[in-house]
Parts: sequence; C-alpha cells; structure tokens
Amino acid sequence: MNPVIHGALLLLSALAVATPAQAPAPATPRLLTLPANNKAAVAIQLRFRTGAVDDPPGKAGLTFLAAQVMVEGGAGPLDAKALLGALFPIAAELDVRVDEEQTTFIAKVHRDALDKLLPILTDVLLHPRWDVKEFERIQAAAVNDVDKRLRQGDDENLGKAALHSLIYRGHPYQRLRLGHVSELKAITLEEAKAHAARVFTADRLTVGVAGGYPEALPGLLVKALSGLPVTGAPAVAVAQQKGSGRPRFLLVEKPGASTAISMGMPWELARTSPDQPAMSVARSAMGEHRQFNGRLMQRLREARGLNYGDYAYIEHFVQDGGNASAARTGIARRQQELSIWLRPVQNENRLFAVRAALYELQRSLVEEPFSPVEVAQTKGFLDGYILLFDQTDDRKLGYALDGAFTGPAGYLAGWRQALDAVTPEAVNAAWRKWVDPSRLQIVLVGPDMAEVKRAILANQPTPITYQDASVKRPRPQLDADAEIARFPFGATAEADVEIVPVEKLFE
Amino acid sequence: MAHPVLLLPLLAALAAPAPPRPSPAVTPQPPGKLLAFPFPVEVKTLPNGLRVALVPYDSPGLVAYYTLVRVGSRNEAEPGRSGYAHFFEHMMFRGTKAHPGDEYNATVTRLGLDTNAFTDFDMTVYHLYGPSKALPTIIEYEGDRFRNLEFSEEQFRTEAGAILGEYAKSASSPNLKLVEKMLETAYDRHTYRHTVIGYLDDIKKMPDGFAYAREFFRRYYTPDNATIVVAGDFDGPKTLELIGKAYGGWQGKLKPVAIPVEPPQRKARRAAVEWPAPTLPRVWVAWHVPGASDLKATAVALVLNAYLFGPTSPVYQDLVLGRQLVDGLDATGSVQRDPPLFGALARVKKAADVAAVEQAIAGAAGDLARGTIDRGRLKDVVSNARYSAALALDKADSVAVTLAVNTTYTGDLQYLNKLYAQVEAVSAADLSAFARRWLTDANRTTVTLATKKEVAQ
Repeated sequence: MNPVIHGALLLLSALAVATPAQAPAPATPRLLTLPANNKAAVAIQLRFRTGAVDDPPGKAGLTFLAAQVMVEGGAGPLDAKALLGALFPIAAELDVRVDEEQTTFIAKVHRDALDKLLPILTDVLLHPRWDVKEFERIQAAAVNDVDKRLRQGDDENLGKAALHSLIYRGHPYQRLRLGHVSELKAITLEEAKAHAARVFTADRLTVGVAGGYPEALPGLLVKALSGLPVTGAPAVAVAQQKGSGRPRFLLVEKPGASTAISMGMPWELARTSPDQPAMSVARSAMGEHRQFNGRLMQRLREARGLNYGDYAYIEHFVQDGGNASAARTGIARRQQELSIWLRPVQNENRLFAVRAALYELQRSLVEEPFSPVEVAQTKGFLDGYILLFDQTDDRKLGYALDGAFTGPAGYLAGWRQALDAVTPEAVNAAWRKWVDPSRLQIVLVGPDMAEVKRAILANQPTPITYQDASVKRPRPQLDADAEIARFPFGATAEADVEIVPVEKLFE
Repeated sequence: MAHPVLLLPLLAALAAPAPPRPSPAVTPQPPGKLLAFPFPVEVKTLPNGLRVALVPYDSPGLVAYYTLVRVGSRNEAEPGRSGYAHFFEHMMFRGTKAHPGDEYNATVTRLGLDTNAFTDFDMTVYHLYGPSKALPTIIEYEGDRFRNLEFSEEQFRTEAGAILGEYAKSASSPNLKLVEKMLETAYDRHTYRHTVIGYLDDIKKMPDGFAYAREFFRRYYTPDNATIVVAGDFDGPKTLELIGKAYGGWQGKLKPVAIPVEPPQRKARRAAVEWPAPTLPRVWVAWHVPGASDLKATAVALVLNAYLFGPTSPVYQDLVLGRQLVDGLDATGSVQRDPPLFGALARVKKAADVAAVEQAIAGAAGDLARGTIDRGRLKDVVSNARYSAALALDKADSVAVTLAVNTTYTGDLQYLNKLYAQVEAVSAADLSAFARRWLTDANRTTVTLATKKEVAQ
C-alpha cells in the first residue's frame, strides 16, 4: 500500500538528506495519508521533527517532559482526571513517544468514537493546560523512572542506554532522552511550556492518518493544527559521529548476580545506503533480534548456555510491544550505529562472553565469512519475515512517516525486493567494509568492576565456567573455548577502561 | 495511555515472551454488541484426540500456526521441580531424529517464520507466523516434533544455562522477588505458589532433571491435551488433510498428576521483601477469587479490576492524581484455570505512605461491599470492554494467540465469547455480592517491598 504524499512532503522526501535549514518552511503542517479502508480503527500520528536533540544544555529530558505533560496533564476544558474519564469509555489510545530527532503524538480510536477523541487530540497540541500540580507529578515520575527504574531495576536497558551515551560522546545524541536526574529536577513549568512552543510547531509537523477514517479527517486535522506556532527554535545540526572507539570499556558499578553487556559503534550506514540489503543479511545471520538463527545466539546461548539471548543490530532498534518482529517506528535518525546485545551473563562468565562476541565478530570478518548456505537461508528468512513488520495500519503509517524523514519511500518493499540480488560476496564485502572491531565500545553493568578492569588491562585469561561441568562437549567447541578465553580485549592503557558508579550515570 | 479493561497480568509476565492476554476482538461490527471473538471457527478432532481449529482471516499470503498444550507451572506438583513446564518448552526446540534441532531451526529460518513459544501457569504455547506457502512444511515439522521429540542429556544440561540466563534478565527488577513472595504467601498448597520460571534454587538444579523432563513429556504432551489453531490465509481442507497425516500417528493419553486444592484462606496474611538496591517501595494487596470455570465470577472480576483500580476509579484518582502518593497503580487480575489472585499493586513514592496506600486499596474493596455502586462507571467499564474488543485482533497472529490462550482455561474454544457475554450482563448487585463474598479481610494477602533502611524505619 503506497502512502499518498501531499504538498510539501514530496519535496521533503526528495531532500531527505538535506539539513532542515535548507528545507522550505511551510505555514501549514504536511500531510501523509494511507488510503482509507473499512477497518474499525483510525490511526493518527502527529510526527514532529523534534526530540532529545532539541533539549537545551543543562536541560536533558525537557522535550520528553514537556510532551508527557501535554498528553497526560489535561487539555482544553479537561483536567487530568477528566481526560482519563473521557478516554476510558472509548478505550482510546493517546500517547507520545520522544526519540532523538522525532516526537510522535499517537492516537488510536474506534471510528465510531472518533468525534469524541478529535477535540481532545487537538486540545492536547493547541491548548494543553500546564497545570502545575500535574507538571510536578509527571516530573517526579520522570525522575523516578531514571533514578529508580533505569539505574536500579532494569540492567539490560541501563546497559543499552550507557552504551548509547558512550558512543555518542560529544554528539547531540549523547544525553539520555528520558533526562538526567538533576537536570530533570531543575526544569520549571515555564521552561517546559516555552520549550513546547519552540519545538511543537507547524513547520516541524507531519500529520499522518491511516485506517478506517472518514474522508474529511485529514483536512480537519491540518486545519486545526495550523493553529500551532508557525515556527520556533532553529534546527539542531546532527553531524556524523566519527567515533574514536575510546574508551574501549565503560564499566558501570552496580551490585547483582549477573552482568548486562552491550557493545557498539556509530556509523554512516543508512536505510538509503546501497549496502543496506547486504548488511541486513549479515546482521540477521550474525544475530536476528529474538530469533534463533544467528551465530551469536547459536554459539553463545545454544552451544554454551551462557545466557538467554545474543543479538546484532545495524540501526537503532527498540522492540515495539510484545512481538519480536515489530521494530518501533518513530525512531528514524540521521545518525546510525552498529550494536551487539548480550543478555545478562552470570558474573563468572561475563568476560568470557565479551570475548566470545568479539571472537565471533572477528571470525565473521576473516576466518569464517558468511557462507553461501547461511546467506541463502537468511535471504529466505528475511523474504518472509519482512512481511510481518507492517501488518497493521498504525505500523504502516509509522514506516511511511519514517520514510518521509530519512528515506527511502517504500522502505520495506524496496528492501525485500533488493534481497534477491544480494550475493554472499556482497554480504561479506559490505560487512568487512563497515564493521571495524577496533572501533567497538563495550559496556558492562555489574559488580566488582575494579577487578574486571584489572583483568581487562592485563588481558588475563578468562575461561568459561560451564553450569554443568559433567557434560562432554565437542572438541572443536573446547578448542574455540580456549582461544576465546585469551582473545584480546583491545584495551591496554588505563584510559581505555573507565569505571562509573551507577549513581553517577545520567545524574 | 491505552486503558483496556483487561489488565496486564503481572503474575504471568515472568517466563518467556509475555503471553498476550485474553485481549478480545475485531472489526467492522459496531461496538454495540459484544462478540469478543467474531470469527467463525471450524473445529475437527482427530481420532487420537488432537483438536484442530481453523480460522480464516483476511491476511493475504500469511498464516499463524499455534499449538496449545494445556500444561504449565500449575502442573509442577512435585517438590523441587518448579519451572519445568517452561524448561520443557525450551527443550521442544532441540529436534528429532528426522529433523535435529539445527535442521529444524535452519528450516523455519529459511521459510521466513517468526518462531517462538511461551509458558504460563496453565499453558505452553508454540507458535510460528509467516508466509502461507510454508504451511505444509510447518505441519510436517511440528507434527514430527510433537510425536518424536528427542534430545540428549548433554543438550538438556546445556539448555539449563539458558534458563538461568532468563531468570537473570528479570532479576534486577524488584518485581520478580515481589511476585515470588506474594505467591508463596497467598498459596499454601496449590502449585500457583511458585512462579512460572521457578525458584532460582530449582533452576540451578535443573541439569540433573533429565529423567524427570522425559516423564513430564510423557504425561502432558499427548494429543488429547493439545489444540492446534491455524489463522489467516490457507486452504482449509488441504490443511486438515496434512494435519491428519502429520499428527495421526501421535499416541498417548494425558496422565496428569493431581494438583493440590488450595483450602480457603481463613485469616489475613502479610509478608515483606527487603530489597538490596534503591527502589520505590511497593505494596501489593490481593484476594483469592474463583477460577475460570466460574464464568460469572470471572466476568465480575474482570469488570471489578477496572472498576476498582482502573484510571477512572476513585482509588486511582486519589492515589495517583489527587494526593499523588503513588507513582503507578496496576490492577493485577488474571484469568486462570484454578482460583487466581485479584488485586492491585502500587509503587509508592515514600515509605512513610505505604500504610495509607494499602488502606486505600483494601478500603475500596470494603466500601464496595458496604456501599452503593456508581452505575455510570460500571457502564464505562463495559463500554471500554466493547471498544477494546472491537479494536483488537487486527492481524492473523493476534487472532490465533487469542483463541489459543483463551481455550486453555476450560478447554472450550468458545470460552472468550461466553465470558464476554457475562461481562455484558454484570450488574451493580453482582459487584457488591462479589466484594462481600471474596474481597474480605480474611481472604486478603498483602506484600510490601522496601529497602533495608526503610524496613528498619
């Protein structure tokens, strides 16, 4: 299903790589509609070209907090209680997601109840109440979310967030989009309100509509939202992050029986890159998210029982809800990254696991490139699996809006079609061209990090401890174990390994 | 902020991918009448007892293939064996003589399928979702592994490590310990007293349980204890023919171990968890309520969960928005074969307010038993159920999982529609009667969680 792109969006799409400063600034929001159908649900996504990159210095989390207060704090005649009371009987979804460069106000409602939701949605954008009591409540929740949930009760996401911040040091993506604790606490209601007026502006907005909507809906939305300020803050430049690869390790000191591990590096690979289809095959063969086919999953979990899962990604990835095949939309970015996620490993095996991932990466580049059989199998996999990515109207709309931002239009269909021509040679050539293990940076979240640092700098052997030593394992695996136990960490100088207490992270 | 009436079952969210809940149904019908599962289902039972449910759905070129086995942590009655239903789910991916694990994996990969499984208290569900052209291969491979599963002791011992890893991924959050404590406090005898993933001590001993796992397979992985659900774009007669061929030779009869009956709780219970890291304190108040076979009570519990603790409830509006004592309030009801727990869990901002929050939650139930009912809010809850139903089931995968999950409770493929017919009929008097019967002081269990320092204070 092809999205119908209106007016200025055509231009935007053609200029997808241009900086915002060069793009025209229309007085009314752009519109992107998918053809209306007879489904019960109407999906509306108001996509603003703003996000955490627009948080001013010392105000990390401002865009996120302002957007949350708009959606939850009451709007127009409805205070926060009345807002819940209006949404609940019609089971309407009203939410907002803030990423680095994109913020999406999401509404999903039964078409019979659309007239009830519509004034609420436009009031959230045009007339948020900014009640001080609601602001303080939502601010406190945002602080607790970072301070108590992320830093203390969610090691896997903490590891990913710490890696993100590490590989983007000095880049607009460095700060946590959810905010930093002391900065969030210092934000005032007036600052949130002023910030919203600067970033949720008509020139940054694309109105997306899909599902069983009435013909008049897109026009009504655009007309109403033309009441937004025409323009506001200048666009933030997002230059490509070079990435020094240093420090090699960031060790987050935190108690626990297991250690969360993430590694990655920034790069310029994009969905529009000619290498994207070949790289998608390599990525999937290395470690498809929450599937069993990847080398990392097969060798770390299936053969060695090191942990629950091991995956690789060639662009920023967040799973959307409970389905493994659903990558969140609305997180399209102009700067991308390679990452590897090892789910928590028992502390005794954590450095073996790090080395095993580095070892497998090295093998994929040199001694054991992706075989024709692996490539054929992975191409078959993606040919079917991509079909699952946009089964619902809201997901189709999300992909279309992403395409309008970073390109290409028709991303999923184009990707799937391009797979046919991908050869094993192309897969390995692209993988070798893009992946540079010496630039990888590595985060561990767990206890006793001074000891870990010593082991890394001394390149100390770290043999695997099998949970059950009585099992007879195949000779090649035991030989590989011995090699992995001594595989170089790639860190020799004191400054290559930083330790940070968890309380200091995102403070 | 979606507020469906059926709420996240915290209890169940601890093993494997979170099982999607009895989320109801779909499309062009107006939401005036509540048929939660509006699709026709063709059912056939093979001579060996295996039931097959076919649900055509408009998803061109795609099909979802689900196998429900009515076994879960509920069936782990022997001491020291918590977590085996879930462990066994992992072993089902280790293959057969005809199709060893790596070949099974290579094949489902080549076909472009999203392949996984999940385990809950009452069920283990295996699922594949992808191109319809893969269906003949899916049927052949699935039939083979359910009949001929064969794994070595080495594979078994290695897989135990992945279970430990699965436990580890949840262990940094206080919720896992909180759930463990709630279950073992509220239940004395029934197997719901342990979590789906099992106790850490039992998981560590899993490598030695090879013989027990084989026995588990013989007892529960039998055709008369399984239902296959196929939803999406497929040829019905051909699919039935292939399933008949692939599964016809599957033998065995269900040999369940008796599950202890939980005696009525006679006195309020209480327990506390001391958490080693900084955290928001938590308080969870829960009551035993009837199991899924009591349709009427299950429907009332579903309505009451939202009525008492949903976003428009006085408790929510007081604790979250008014006095702002809590950071989050979740209703924690779920549908289960045997009597589950019903209640609410709050993340409290300050330890000093835990008692006040507990009182507000427990008090709301007491008020309900004594006082009048807000009929407007009752109407809103039913309206929410209708609209949620009409918005769900928007792809073949959702259709299949909803039917599979809701079939486990009583074995009835029409369970969800029967339950929602009852939801429509819930009256104000039903709410009060339910509260008087079940939401009593004696039937209540309260578990709190706080840091050591806060506990000392």
